[in-house]
Amino acid sequence: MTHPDEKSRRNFIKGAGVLALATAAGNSLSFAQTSREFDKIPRISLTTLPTACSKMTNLTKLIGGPDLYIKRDDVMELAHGGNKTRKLEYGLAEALNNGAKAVVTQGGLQSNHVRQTCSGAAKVGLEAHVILSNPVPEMKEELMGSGNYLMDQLMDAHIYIAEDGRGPVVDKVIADLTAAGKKPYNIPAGASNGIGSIGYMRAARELIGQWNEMGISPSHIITATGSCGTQSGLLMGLRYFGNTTTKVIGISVSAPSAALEARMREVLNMISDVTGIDKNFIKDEDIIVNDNYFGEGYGRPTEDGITAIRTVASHEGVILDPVYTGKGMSAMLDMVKNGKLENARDVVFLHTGGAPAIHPYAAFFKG
Amino acid sequence: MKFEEVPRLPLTSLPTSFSALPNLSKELGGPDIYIKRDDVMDLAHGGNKTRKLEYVFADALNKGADTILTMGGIQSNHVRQTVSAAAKLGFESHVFLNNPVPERRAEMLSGGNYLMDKIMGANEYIIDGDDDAVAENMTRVEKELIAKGKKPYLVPMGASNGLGSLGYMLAAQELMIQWENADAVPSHIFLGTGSCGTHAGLLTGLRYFGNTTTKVVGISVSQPEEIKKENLREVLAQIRDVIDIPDNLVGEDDLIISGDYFGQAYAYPTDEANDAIRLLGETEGIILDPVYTGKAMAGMIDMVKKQKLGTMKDIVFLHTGGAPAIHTFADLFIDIEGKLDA
Repeated sequence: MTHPDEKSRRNFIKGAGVLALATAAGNSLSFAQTSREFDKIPRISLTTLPTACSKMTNLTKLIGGPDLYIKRDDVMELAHGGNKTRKLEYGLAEALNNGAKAVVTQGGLQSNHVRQTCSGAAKVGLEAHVILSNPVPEMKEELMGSGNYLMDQLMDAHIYIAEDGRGPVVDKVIADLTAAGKKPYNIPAGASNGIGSIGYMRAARELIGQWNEMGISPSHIITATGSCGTQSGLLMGLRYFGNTTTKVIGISVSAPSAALEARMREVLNMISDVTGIDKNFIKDEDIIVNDNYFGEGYGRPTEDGITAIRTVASHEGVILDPVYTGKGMSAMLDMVKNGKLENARDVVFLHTGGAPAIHPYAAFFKG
Repeated sequence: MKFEEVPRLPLTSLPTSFSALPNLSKELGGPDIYIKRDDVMDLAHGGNKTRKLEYVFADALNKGADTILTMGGIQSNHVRQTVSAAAKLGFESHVFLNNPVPERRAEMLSGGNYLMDKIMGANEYIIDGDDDAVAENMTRVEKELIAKGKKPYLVPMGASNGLGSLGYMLAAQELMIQWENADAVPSHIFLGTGSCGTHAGLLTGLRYFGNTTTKVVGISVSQPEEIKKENLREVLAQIRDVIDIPDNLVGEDDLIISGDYFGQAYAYPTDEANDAIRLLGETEGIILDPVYTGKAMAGMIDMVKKQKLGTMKDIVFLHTGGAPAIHTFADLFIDIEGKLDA
C-alpha cells in the first residue's frame, strides 16, 4: 500500500536536495552536476551495488513502533562482505594510483576490516600485510580459532601478531616494505580516514535514491560506531547530497561518546581535506554518538546485544554479530520501544556486516 | 504450466555478479575463467538454495502453510537458508539434521551453519542415523504438528525437486544475459553437484532459453558418476512434471558428471580441495568451502590443467556458497600459534 504522504515526502526530499547542495558547494550546482563532480574521485569497483534496503516487517510488528528498515551492507562480494568494502573501493584505488605493491593495515584478531582488506588486496593483486592485536586476552584461543582470522590466513595475508601495541609493528613493517621497494600503502584501522570514508558518502547517495524510490523519509539511521569512518561518511554524504532531515545515530561499540564525537570531527575534517567540502558544513549538533550500549568494552558481548541478535535472526532471518551490529541493534530496539527517538518514523538500521566473527563467539549462544 | 507462469517469491536482490578471475586465469595459464557469485545473497550468508526457495516458499504460501520442515547434514547450507527464509516470512521451522562425518561431531556442532540455525530460532532435531531415519522422524513430527493444528510444508533435501530447480532455470537466463554483456561465450560451466537440483535446473534453463553450446559440468561432491547421473535424470524428469517443456530438451549426452574429485565421501575434505580453497583465497580473495565448492574448484583446476575436456573458452565457475561451514573445518587450515612474519 502506498503511504498517503508518499508524494509530498518525495517532493520534500527532492526540494531539500537543491537547498543543501547549494550550501555544500557554495553555488547553484544541480544534484546531477554535484554527483558528477563526486564521481570524479578515483574509485575501483569491488562489489555489485546497490545493496538491498528492505523493510523488517516482522520486527516492526513485534516492536509495535515506527516502520523499521535494514540496509544490507553485510551482503558484498569481498570474502563475506561488510561495510569496509565501500571504503576500500577508494583506498585501494589510491594505492594502485600510487604504484603500491603492498598494503599494510591493522585491527583486532577478528577484524572484519582486515579480512575485507585481505580480500580486496588479493583481488587487485597487492600483497596484504596485517598487524593484529588481541582485544580480549581471555578469548585468545577462540579468536584465533576461526572466523575472520581463519579467512585472513586462507587469503595468504602476511600476519603479524602485535603483543604490545600495533603502532611500532606497523612502523617497522612499513619501513621494511619501503626498503624492499614495495611502496607500501598504509590503511588505518577500519579504513576510517578521509579517503575511505568517501565510500559512505557514496552509500548515502545510494540510500537517498532507495528511500526516494520507496517513498520513505527516515527520521533516523542507526549504525554501530567504532573507528567512526562509516558514520562520518554517511553523515557527510547525506547532507552533501541534500538530505537535511535524517538523523545519523552512532552507537558506540567501545568508547565514551565524547571521545567518539571528537574522533568524528577529525574524520569529517579529513573528508573535507580530500573533497574540499567546507569544514563547517557539518554542525556539532549533527554529530550524535550514544555510549549506553557497549557494555564492558570492545569485543565483549553484552546480554542485550546477544538477545538482539537472536530477535532479529528469528524474526527476519538476518544474522548480526556480537561485536558491532548486535550492540547497535540492541540500542535501536531499546530506543524504539522506549520512545527515545524523537518523532521516530521509518527508522533504518545499517547492517555493517561482521557476522563471520559469530563463530568464535559461539559459546555465547548455547541453549 | 509454462515456466513463466510459476509463482515466485523474491528472497534476495538479483542478479548476482558475474565477473572475471584474471589472477586465477593467469595462474593456471588456460582459458579465461569467470565466476558467478551465488554465494552473495541476502538470506543469512547466501548460497544457491535461495534461488530454489523463491519457488518453494511461493508454493508453501499458496498452500496456506505456516510451518516448514526440512532436512540435511548438521552443517547444511540448505537448511540454514531455509530457516532464514522461514524467519523472514514468519514461518515456524523444524529442521532434521544428521551427521555425515561422525568423527567430526564436536566440530560440526561448534559453529557455522548449525549455530546460525540455532540463532534463527529453528527447532533442531539431531538424528543419529541415515537419511531414512531422518525422513522417519520428519514424518512423525509432521503428524504431531498437524494434530496441533499447524499446516506443515515439507522442503526436500537441498530443495532439489522439480519446483526448486526452477530457481536455476531463472539463473540460467540471468547468466545468458550477463554473458552477452560481457562478450563471453562459455564452453563450460562448472559446479559442485550434490542433490542435483542446481545442476538440473541450470542445464534445463540454458537449453530452454536457447543456449545449446555451453556444457554444464557437475563435479560430484559425494558419489560416483553413475549414481549422480541417475539422480540428475530424476530431477530433470521432476522439472518436466512441473512445467511444459519438450521431453528431449536435454539429451543423455548432455549429462556430464565427474566422480573423480569427492575423495572418501560427502563432507570429508580432500587435499586437492583444500589447496583449491587456498588458491582462490590467495589469488582472488574469494572464500570457498571444503564440502562443495572446494571440491568443485579442485575438479575444474585439474580438468583445465590436464585439458581433459577438449577446447575450453571463457569457462565459468558457479560459486554455490557454503563458506559458513569453513569455520567448523578451521583446524585444517589454521595456524593456531599465529604466523609471525615479524
